[in-house]
Amino acid sequence: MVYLCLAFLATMWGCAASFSPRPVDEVPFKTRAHTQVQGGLTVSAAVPTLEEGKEIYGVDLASKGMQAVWIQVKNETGLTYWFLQSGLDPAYFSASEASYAFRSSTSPGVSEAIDRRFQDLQFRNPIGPGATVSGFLVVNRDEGFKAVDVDLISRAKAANFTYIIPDPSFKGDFTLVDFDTLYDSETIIEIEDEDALRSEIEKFPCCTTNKKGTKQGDPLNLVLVGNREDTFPAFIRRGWHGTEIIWSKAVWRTIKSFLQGSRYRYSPVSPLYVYDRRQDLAGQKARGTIHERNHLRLWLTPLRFQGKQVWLGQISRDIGVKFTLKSPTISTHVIDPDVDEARRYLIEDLAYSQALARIGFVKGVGEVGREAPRYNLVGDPYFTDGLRAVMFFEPRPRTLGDLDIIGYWEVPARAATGEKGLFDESP
Amino acid sequence: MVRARRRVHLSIVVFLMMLMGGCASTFERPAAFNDIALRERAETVAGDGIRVSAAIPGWEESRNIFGIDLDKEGIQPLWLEIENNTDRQIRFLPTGLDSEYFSPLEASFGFHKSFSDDFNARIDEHIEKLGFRYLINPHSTSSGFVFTNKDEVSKVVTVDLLGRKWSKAFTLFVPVPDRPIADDYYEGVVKMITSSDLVDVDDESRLRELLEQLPCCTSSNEGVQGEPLNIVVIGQLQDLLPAFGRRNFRYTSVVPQYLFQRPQDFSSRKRDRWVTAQPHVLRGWLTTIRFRGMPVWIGQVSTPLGGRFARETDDAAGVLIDPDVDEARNDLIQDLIYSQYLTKLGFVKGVGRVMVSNQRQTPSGGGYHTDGLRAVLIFEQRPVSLSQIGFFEWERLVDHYRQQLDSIESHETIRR
Repeated sequence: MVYLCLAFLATMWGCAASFSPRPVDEVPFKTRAHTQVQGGLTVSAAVPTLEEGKEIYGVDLASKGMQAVWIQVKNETGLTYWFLQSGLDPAYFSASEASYAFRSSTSPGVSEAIDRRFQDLQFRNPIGPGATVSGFLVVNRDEGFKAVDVDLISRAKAANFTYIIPDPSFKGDFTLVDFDTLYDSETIIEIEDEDALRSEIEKFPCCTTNKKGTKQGDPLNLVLVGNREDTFPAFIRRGWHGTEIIWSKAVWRTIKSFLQGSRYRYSPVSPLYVYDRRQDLAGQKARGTIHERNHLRLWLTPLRFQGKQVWLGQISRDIGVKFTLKSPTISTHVIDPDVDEARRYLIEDLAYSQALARIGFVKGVGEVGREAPRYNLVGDPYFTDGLRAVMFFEPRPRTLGDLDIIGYWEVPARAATGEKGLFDESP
Repeated sequence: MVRARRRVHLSIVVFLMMLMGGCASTFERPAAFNDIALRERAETVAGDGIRVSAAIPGWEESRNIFGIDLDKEGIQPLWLEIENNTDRQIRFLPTGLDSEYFSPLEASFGFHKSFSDDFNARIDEHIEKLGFRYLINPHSTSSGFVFTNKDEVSKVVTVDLLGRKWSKAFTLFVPVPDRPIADDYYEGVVKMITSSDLVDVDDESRLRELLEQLPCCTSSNEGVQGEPLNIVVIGQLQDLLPAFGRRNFRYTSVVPQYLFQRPQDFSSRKRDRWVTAQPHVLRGWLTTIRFRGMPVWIGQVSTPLGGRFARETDDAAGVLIDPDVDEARNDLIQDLIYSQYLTKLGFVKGVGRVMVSNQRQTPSGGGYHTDGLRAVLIFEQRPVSLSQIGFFEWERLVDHYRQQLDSIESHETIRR
């Protein structure tokens, strides 16, 4: 008996003597649900915190890299709709797979109870005419905020919903800034005209700086224009993630990731400054290892174009890591000196996001030749055609063939030949 | 605390020094690149005034061209030439070919040495010069290398071209040299497609009849009935492979199952990206049926029991499949909807309904239950958005879903 009990404790989640999830309605996560209506479809989405998820499922999903998303669809149309789970996370977990992670080899009864709990909670297609269906989908865990794409299809129509749902427990750059109060109504500059937008963007600062504003760093080479719910899900759909602000835990996880060459998706980026403040938002898209990732920093500007937010930013491609004492993370990334390459990559990447509608180019830092490169704050060289890309975001879905280019603005030229082209071109 | 941090500093410094192994030497710049050999064996497609050719250099050839062993870093250089005979300026999107491609200076950075600025600058210059220039002006040609992640067997090269309010895609299958299997594999598949005794079908209801007459299940080598054949895929190879490729399916060898007295013609699993991919296993066989000229494949998709959480010890007992095989099928359909190549979807009768209470056994000793349907998917030149997918007016999944749920519920009532 004692042996059984010990084995049970060892294989399960600590001291709980039995599997006892809480009824869903007793867990208050639904008060944070976001709801959107399109035609006769009312779709709500909510993300339980890791703690709430534990109560609902009775097991710790996060310990296995998972989290649950709650979806409710109210169908007041005459069609039968299906919710496409792959659209939310192409690597989502089926109920039987997810519950298998918590299977107990010593207690088949508990295993079965867990499996049944996962089955009961899962969202079940289809959503018939007049029906309301709700349930959970188990997906890969994201920290910070979750972009929730809900795609519904029927035989006649498709409908797309997008939500961005913050996790109240994440210490990302994103959660530090209150975007609604950052600028008061007197500082905000409303612009309707495209030419005026262009000249305002040309007046933006050229580069990031250090904290005191005495030294210039990487060039500010991109501008995003759009509503928040169109712009940021586009990034997340393409695998971009928020980053944790630099604090001890995150630094330690970064070091571990560095030593093991493993993938810590949220490792912090060092702060750079514009408008006398560090980035409002930092994102990264990691590739093979920590040594290879793209970094993005954004600042909200006081500009509003046709009512939409305008963000100023900087992107670079990390191609390796070097040791430095100039950064609190000890190691820092070496950037691709051809910074225009990263800018071009970003445009392309977002062209596949279904939300990028138009792009154009305006003057930025000015041309920097490869023979006489400039240096960022950690001493990496860069060269550039000196333009900034301006990207306009609209509601999805849009296909590649819809992408428009503002031809009468600047046209990026290839440094080597002077050839001018659609986007910019690496020399 | 301070001491602990210092220890971390120290270990990183040591680690970095190990990484760099810094001793200066010179980079021997290879002889001028000559593309004759690549051009000769390049695969080519053309249409609408645009020609695309592509080839992959062999290991030796690659060493000679680049002067460094890119293969060692998992980088596969792809030679690409695009001829633009239109009046518009077009741009090639490497992201569509490989979302994790390497920039030229990134590819060369892996070969940098510390305290060797000269050496590093020369590698950079050399690699960059060989890189493909993504912009192609009207009535001009561009050629060079794209630095991609390594594919074994064969590379499905999707060339997405973008113009102002215009886009076009080409697909090529480019053999990977030094791997003889690749040639055999593709020749084999191609040969089967052109084989005789074909049954050409034009009519949808005739197609449905033929699909319902196909065998119910795979079998083991000994002829014991195996897993249900639950998916039919229709389309030209150049539309099928990129559709699956876009969703990260890659050729993967798996334990053989048999149909038409032969092991699967094709098997595939998803490649891991950021997160571990769904663990579905797909096996396919080419049939003699051609629907409006398009080859018809029949296949089986299932998930190993426990999926990504199966423990290694579980495997020793033989791979069991998740008994709810329909889940794998439905996952696959959803996933392929996002490929933008799926034009039409429907269901026909397959193995027939197998209740939860009366599961059918497979040779490995596991069981399965199913609504008994087989999904039929047609793939054609994209892009097809979610709202443009057509449906066959055949079996309706929704009716079978209800039956299946009813059966589970009644089964549970009985058990209670």
